[in-house]
Amino acid sequence: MNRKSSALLVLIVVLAIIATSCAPAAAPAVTTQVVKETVVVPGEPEVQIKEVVKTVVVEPTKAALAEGGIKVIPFLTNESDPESVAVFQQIFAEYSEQNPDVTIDLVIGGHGDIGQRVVAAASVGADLGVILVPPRDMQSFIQAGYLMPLDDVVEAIGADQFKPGALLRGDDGHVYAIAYAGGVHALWVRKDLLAKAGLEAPTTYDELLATAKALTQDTNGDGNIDIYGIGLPVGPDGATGDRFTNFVYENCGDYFDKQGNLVFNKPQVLDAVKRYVELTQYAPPDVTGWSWFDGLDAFLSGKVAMHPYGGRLGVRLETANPEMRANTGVIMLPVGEKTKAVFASYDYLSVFSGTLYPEESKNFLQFFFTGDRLARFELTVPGHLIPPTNAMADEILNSDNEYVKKYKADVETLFGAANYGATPIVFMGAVDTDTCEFNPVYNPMPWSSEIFGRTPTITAEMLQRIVVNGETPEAAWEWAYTEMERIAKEWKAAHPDWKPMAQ
Amino acid sequence: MFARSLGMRRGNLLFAYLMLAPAIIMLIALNIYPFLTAFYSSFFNIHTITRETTWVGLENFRSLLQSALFWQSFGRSLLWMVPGVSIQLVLGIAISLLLHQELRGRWFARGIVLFPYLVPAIVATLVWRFMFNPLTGVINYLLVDVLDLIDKPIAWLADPDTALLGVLIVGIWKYLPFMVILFLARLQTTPLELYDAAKIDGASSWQEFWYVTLPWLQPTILVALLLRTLWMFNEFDITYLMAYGGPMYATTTLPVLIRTTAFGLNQMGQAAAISMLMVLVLFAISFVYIRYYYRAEEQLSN
Repeated sequence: MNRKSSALLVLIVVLAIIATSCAPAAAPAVTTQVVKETVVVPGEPEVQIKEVVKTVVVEPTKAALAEGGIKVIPFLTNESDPESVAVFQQIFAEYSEQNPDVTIDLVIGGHGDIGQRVVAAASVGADLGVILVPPRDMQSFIQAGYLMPLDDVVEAIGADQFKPGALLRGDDGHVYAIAYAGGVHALWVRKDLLAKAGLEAPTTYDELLATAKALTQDTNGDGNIDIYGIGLPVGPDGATGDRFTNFVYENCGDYFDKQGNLVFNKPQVLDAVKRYVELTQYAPPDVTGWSWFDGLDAFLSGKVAMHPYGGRLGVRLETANPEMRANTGVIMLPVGEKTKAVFASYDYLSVFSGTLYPEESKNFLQFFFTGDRLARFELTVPGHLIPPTNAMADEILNSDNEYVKKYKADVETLFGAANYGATPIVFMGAVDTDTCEFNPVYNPMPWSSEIFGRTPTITAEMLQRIVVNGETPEAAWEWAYTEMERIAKEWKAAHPDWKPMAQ
Repeated sequence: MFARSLGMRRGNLLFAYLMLAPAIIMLIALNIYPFLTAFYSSFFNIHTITRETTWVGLENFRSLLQSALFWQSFGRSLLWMVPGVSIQLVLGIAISLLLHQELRGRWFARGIVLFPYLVPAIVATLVWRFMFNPLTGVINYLLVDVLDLIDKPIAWLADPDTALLGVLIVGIWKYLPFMVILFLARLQTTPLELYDAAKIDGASSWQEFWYVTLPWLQPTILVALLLRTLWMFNEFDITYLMAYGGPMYATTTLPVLIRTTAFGLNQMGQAAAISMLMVLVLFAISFVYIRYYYRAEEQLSN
């Protein structure tokens, strides 16, 4: 074979590879089937199931698979704690043992880029399988058709056991996502530093402010602060926004009411803004750059005496510095006296509508949510991963886990705080801003992605305007609520038929 | 005879095109198609997640040109790019000249100098974020406690006055080796007789550098400047991962603004419009560089 022929052969091979990789996946078939449809009437607790004949698109499953091949289902999550990853892998192996033709492939995404991955996968036709869905993007994902209804999975595992907000429904009444773990912020406090200063754990905002001031100390007398009273982020992302929501709720504020009308412009929210900013004078100088883990690192290094965070802080501290952990406790965050409510949010699992293996993906989800598997997962970071059912919370509190046995009171505090938890994204209007009553009803905020998904988030930017730019709290707050109102108005104008689910 | 020769030439031409085909296909798929898609998208209002699309004509461009944030981000892109590329250029020449000398251990030094370029951006940014930390970072420790240059630790990435500087330091550290490699490779091809002639004419070391080394380096400098300018202007990972565009947009350059617009505000059309305006700027810069490059090559060959 001469040089020219060899080159031509190589060229043909290259072109064949390109052509193969550009070829579309096996086309979905359109067929008519009898399917069970779950009908949920808003306001009615009863779920009705009826059989209807409808045209459905059946994605290729076995047809796309070579004889004897393995079906690979991606599992997209942002849970990257080594213990969590290990338990995921164990559960995947157990599933494959029972289903030898299926392999679950763990894909770990960054905290903020899960949404982007889903959008990108949907655009190019990639398979994502089982996916973690950020609550703020949930309604947009449902609207765009990225998620598969999971009514049959919920029916199989039992819908009644789940706490409010743990099952996410679309406007059509179908369940599209199931919560696997929640997160809540409570205040971690160095008890040894409190004792040294002759103080008790704070129970009111004024006490918290005084404690933060007292614990901000120059310990070696060189003129520089060595320990700051409180680690309170004023960074650009949700790490700041989520914590600020605690201040809003506890001061009888909210973002929108149950009908979707703006209430962030009520004066009690301004009080919350002022309190947050007031506390930051006892926070480290770099809090304007803090994201999720910066406060955790500062606490672990002994540079802050108090920090609002989830249960992970205690677990990490136990590993890094057991002595400091023994001198650390956790309490409800005392930043307002009007409403007993805290920010708490679930993480959800769903099935990507474009998956090659919808039945297998749903089957795996059912497997994950039954037996002891979910509890095993929650125990990888005890107290941080709040179970979506009360029964499982009890199971964890009574488990043989060493950390839970040692710090059961702290885990109980965190689980207890979650009982007063809500997120404005899923429970729009959780706080009645007239009566200060906390009444979280499942009521997703459809425009939440534009308010809480951006960087900086609106509330983070509001706080940065005050702390960084020196704007008055009034001016920054007015900018924030004007921006929120504009976003909501634009969304409602584009969706004139929308009605809040809580109606 | 003539017909046979023509047939062979046609065959060769066809073969040449066939050989070019994979590259052309890749170019179309990976460059031209995405560019045209972005150009087309810039005339629409596109919701990133739901893909709801509405024709808006030039509205995206009009609103951008009236947006203070866009112009501020553009200014920060220049503030990030111009000093960044200039300092990399000067240090790149200096270090490459040093590594070109007959010094002991220069092979080891040449290896070490490449290190920052080999470190993934995410690792580099994490390490630098720790180093810049005002509570526990080594940089403030050195400045305050060891060298006694400042009284209080600086919140490098949390202060709008220093955030971009902090990011710039990391950018220079990370990409300086690229310049060093290019210049070192060029220096190794310098004809030695040029230096011999300069010595015979009584040239000083400075004159040797100015009249021999620098002109010899000039085409490489222009290529390095062109590439680094394009890459710095388009740089996203370091600027975003170091400070997430903040505080108060202090590190929001145009690529970070594109990300925020596309995935934060869900306005894909608007984000495409920003990228189109970036293309215009980069095209103008490239045009100037390429003109100078050909002029430098011509001068050198003369």
